[in-house]
Amino acid sequence: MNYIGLSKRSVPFVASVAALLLLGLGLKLLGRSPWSVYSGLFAGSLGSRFAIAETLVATIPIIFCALATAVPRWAGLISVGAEGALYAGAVGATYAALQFSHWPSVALVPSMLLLAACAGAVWAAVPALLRVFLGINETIVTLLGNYVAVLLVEYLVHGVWQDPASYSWPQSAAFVASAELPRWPGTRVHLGLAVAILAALLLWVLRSRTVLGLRLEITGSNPTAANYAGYPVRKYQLLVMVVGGILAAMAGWGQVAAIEGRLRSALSPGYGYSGFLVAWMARHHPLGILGFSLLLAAMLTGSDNLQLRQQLPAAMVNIFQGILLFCLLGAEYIADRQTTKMQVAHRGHEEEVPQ
Amino acid sequence: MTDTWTPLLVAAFAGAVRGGTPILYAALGETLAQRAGVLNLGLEGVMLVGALASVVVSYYTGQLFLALIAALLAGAVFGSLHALFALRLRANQVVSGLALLVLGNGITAYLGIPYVGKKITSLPPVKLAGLSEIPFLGPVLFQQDFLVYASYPLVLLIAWLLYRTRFGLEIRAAGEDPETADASGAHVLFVRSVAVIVGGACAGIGGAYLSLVYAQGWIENMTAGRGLISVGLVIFARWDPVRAMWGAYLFGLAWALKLLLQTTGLQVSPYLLGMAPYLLLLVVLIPVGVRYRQGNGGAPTALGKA
Amino acid sequence: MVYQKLSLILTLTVFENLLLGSIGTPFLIRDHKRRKDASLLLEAQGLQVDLDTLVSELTLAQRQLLEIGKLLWRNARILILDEPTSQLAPHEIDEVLRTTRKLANAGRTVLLITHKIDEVLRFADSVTVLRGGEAIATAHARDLTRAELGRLIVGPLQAVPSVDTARALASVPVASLRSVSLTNGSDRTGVFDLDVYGGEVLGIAGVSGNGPEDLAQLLVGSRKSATGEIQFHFGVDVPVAHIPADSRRMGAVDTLPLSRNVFLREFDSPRLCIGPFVRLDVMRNEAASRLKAYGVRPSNPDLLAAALSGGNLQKLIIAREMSCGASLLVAENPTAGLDPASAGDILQRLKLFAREGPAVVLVSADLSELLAISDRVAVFSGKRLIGVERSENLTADSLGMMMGGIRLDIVQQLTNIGTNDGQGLEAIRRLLTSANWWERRVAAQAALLCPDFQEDALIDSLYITEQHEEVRVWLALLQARMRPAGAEILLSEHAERSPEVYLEVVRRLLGTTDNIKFGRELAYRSENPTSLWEAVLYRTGAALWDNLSVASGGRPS
Repeated sequence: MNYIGLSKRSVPFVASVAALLLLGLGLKLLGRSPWSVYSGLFAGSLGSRFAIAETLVATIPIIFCALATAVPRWAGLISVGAEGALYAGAVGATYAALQFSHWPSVALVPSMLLLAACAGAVWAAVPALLRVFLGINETIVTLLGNYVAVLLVEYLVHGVWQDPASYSWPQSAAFVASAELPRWPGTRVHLGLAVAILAALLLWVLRSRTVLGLRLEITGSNPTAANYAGYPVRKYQLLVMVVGGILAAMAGWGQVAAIEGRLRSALSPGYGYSGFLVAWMARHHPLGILGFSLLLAAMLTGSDNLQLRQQLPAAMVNIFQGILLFCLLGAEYIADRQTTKMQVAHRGHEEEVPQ
Repeated sequence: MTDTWTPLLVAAFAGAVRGGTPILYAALGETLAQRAGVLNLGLEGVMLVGALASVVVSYYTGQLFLALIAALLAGAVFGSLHALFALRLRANQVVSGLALLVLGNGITAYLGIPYVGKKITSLPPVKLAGLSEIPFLGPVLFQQDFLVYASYPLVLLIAWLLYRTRFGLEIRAAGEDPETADASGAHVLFVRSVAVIVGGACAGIGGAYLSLVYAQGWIENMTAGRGLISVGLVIFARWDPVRAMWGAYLFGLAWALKLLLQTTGLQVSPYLLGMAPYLLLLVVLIPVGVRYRQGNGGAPTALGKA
Repeated sequence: MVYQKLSLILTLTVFENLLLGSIGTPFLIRDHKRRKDASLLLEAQGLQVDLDTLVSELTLAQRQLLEIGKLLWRNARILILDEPTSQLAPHEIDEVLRTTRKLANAGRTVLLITHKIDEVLRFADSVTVLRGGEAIATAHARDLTRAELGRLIVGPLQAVPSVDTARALASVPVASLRSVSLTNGSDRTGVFDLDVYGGEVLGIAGVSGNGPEDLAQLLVGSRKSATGEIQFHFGVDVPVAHIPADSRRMGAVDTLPLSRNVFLREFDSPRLCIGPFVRLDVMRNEAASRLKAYGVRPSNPDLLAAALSGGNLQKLIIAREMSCGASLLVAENPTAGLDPASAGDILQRLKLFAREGPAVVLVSADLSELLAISDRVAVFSGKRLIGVERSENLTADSLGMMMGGIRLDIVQQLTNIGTNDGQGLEAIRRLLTSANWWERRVAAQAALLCPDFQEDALIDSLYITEQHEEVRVWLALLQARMRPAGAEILLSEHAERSPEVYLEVVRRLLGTTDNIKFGRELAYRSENPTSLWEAVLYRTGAALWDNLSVASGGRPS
């Protein structure tokens, strides 16, 4: 039998298109021209060399945050803590940059990376431990952590780390030049992109080709079965949460080390939540995450452009992301229903075969 | 107790009730939803929508009653969005809730721009004759405003609904074992949807309290995590409305303490103080987790499952 | 309709569960009249519990009765019971089915779906046999014999797993349980030793909740014993294979391909791995051939496990567990819910697997299945090991009695009472003073059966010193037989204090309603008991009724 309609693979694309259309419809109702918005989006994200470079810049933290959401999900956990771990990573990297500012670049850059990773790991370990040993919902705790992380950074940049040179601006002192990451000449695209892509590729191999990856897949799909097969489920859950924390911390590291050059409280316009969205669009597949990060980054950069040119407020991004998530859920429902139908039809068919 | 301490304590507890009331409304709504087996993580977004709706209506009409109705409806609409996706379309409840959070955040930030800093008709405090004269309790509980007074019977009403009515029974059954409830003739989808929508309406009122009483105007993202705390609070309260009330006041106290400490001129960073409610939630969830390490601690068995 | 899986919500109370199913909706549920109605209705079904008890605190039999009560509360005229007794102990089965019989007598229609021939012959009026989706025959139950009914059910092509029973039991155990306990440790009397040998199928019998599941959990390591230790006589890296009870939930991953499900335990086996990497193509091919070898249909390794039917999924799990190199396989109710062909196939594979050297521990609620393929059967009751016996020494009856807590030697001695060689009487006398209450109980029961046992003084003195409530009840019954005049008072005293099952019999006997009918039924049943339990119950009951009616002026015709 033939089924016409949504295949699983096309779900995120259909959802993206639907979300764009809905957004346009909303704008139309608010009295704006959707076409100028669409063209502004395109021009701002892919319309020029500069725009493309900026899109790539935004892609970096989104990839990290999406991976940070996907990896815990492999073991069945829903973490929304990428935003918080991003800030924690930024704090770690900043600590290294401020403390070891006399070190040469070869030592300083890796030490910033290392400290950022440590900070992210510790940050993520809290919800992980609470989840694994006390059964406290990891989604709620990671969300809580996001609020705390922002306040922690605010505290630091208003207090102990405040730059005496910038009067009362809430920001840390600028990093020394040796702390800066190498960049693609003429753009803000930095080393972080290579690290992000490498991380995604490694995770893809891990996920699909290694014993650990296959076991994680089982654990995430059916923890009870994993338990029965003798997998160390708790260990896996701790591991994926901590790895997720480290990945999101990489995003924070990239932001302070390459983009801002110092610690500020407004480091991320919600990259953590964008990453969450991307991870669910890509069904937690590392390679899919690379692609969809680019797509969402283009949307974000494009809307930055709209903000400047058409006075559309920044909140547009959140509205779009919310709509996109709902569209994704809707499209998934349609696709799932078809697969179920197909399976049921299939099962029924097989059982008719005489034994 | 010396005379210098009493007014301070009264101020602190009255502040706790005020600060706790928006959380209480949201937590009561979430209690209903979770008892029916639906986790609504998007409470934050729902509260924001309620807050903005009441601001807009209050700004244009000056009618507080209409403002409350608007908040109620806005919350219910957002609640029904969650019901549509998480229940009808059987989507992952966590993801649907997060979508609600992000969308509510975005929409209110966008639509709220014209109302930032605008003066609105706010809900005035009303002293309840007689009751407000009771020493200590009077100023704490009965020198508040209409929404605070309305929350007292609402707690009892929700408790009564859950434990004493047939509909409450069906809600609990839907949350414990939807298949069995369905086989027994309860309309699980309907019951759950109603619980989620009413829950959304409650959260909308909670949001309205923030804008009409607490801030007396619109501020972008003014809930500041209260929706999320309400969700955690429901777990802390072990899915019971009366316990949710005490919990809400505890968190209200955490917020009040922040304001109070600032007025006393103590040198504590406002950012560290701002963490208090979030850390408090973590701290109170831990003993709950330790105590109920075996089993699910009385959580509705089917919570979060499609 | 009462499904095999109960449709009660465990975390709600008895009353709430009743209300949930009712039509005609009052708003308030704390209504005193309705509560009273509910109590009366449940009591009439023989269920005496507080309405505010959580269902999770009820026994399985009580839940089954509540389930029936739920239907009656809705005023159902037709009751459909799907395998209502599959989870119950023998005496509980009687309790539930007698209630349904009473309902039928009162004019309601009861449709009893069951695979137990006994239940049909004892409780049904008419019977329809279904086989392969067709109605094969319909007849009056009293016109059928066990053998006839059995033939009708099984059909002409009887698929009995015929396996060579010659065996080579390894003399070295695969696993040794030493001083382990299935309870939480406070109870020292439950400690036991048990060895599992290579090459054997060790059956584990016991009513659900009495220990079989706990033993399985001990062996697979998902539970620790409070005392003692388990020694496995194979390498630490050799897994214990396990076919879990709820295989779709615990044994497989519905959303992943069959190949993953087949190799779930062996991703790291040297055949599949190069370092940490898994060779997916090798896995796929091996999975395909393994699926074929075990007769899984469809056998395409790329299909999702959700596409398999229950029987095929079970075969897949067996394929996996038998291939993972284990020396010990623990199978929990592996044939539950399967059609006879699949079930037979699976039993046969288990037997053959054991013949190749590993040990198979088979936990099953199906006694005939246990007796068919086990070499030895270990019986548990009340979380205690009652005994380990070779299966050829056992019958379904004696196994059933052991599940009630009586050791096989005692069972055999008691069965010999009728032969009157003094051995039985001696056994009763010895056991009446035993330190174990369940042995005293069975002794008292046996004494009731045995008219030669006339030791009034002994019984009287025992009755005074007896601490255990249930044994006291049986001693009281004995006294009632000796002195019918005071029986009513003596027994009613117990009826008020003890909730035990046996009291139910007494209560009904002494109650003023239905005396005649019930007495007649008992008299009839006592002629054709199917187990010693029943014989005890029915004969006691009939005798009592005789005595009482004689005392009150002659037996009504």
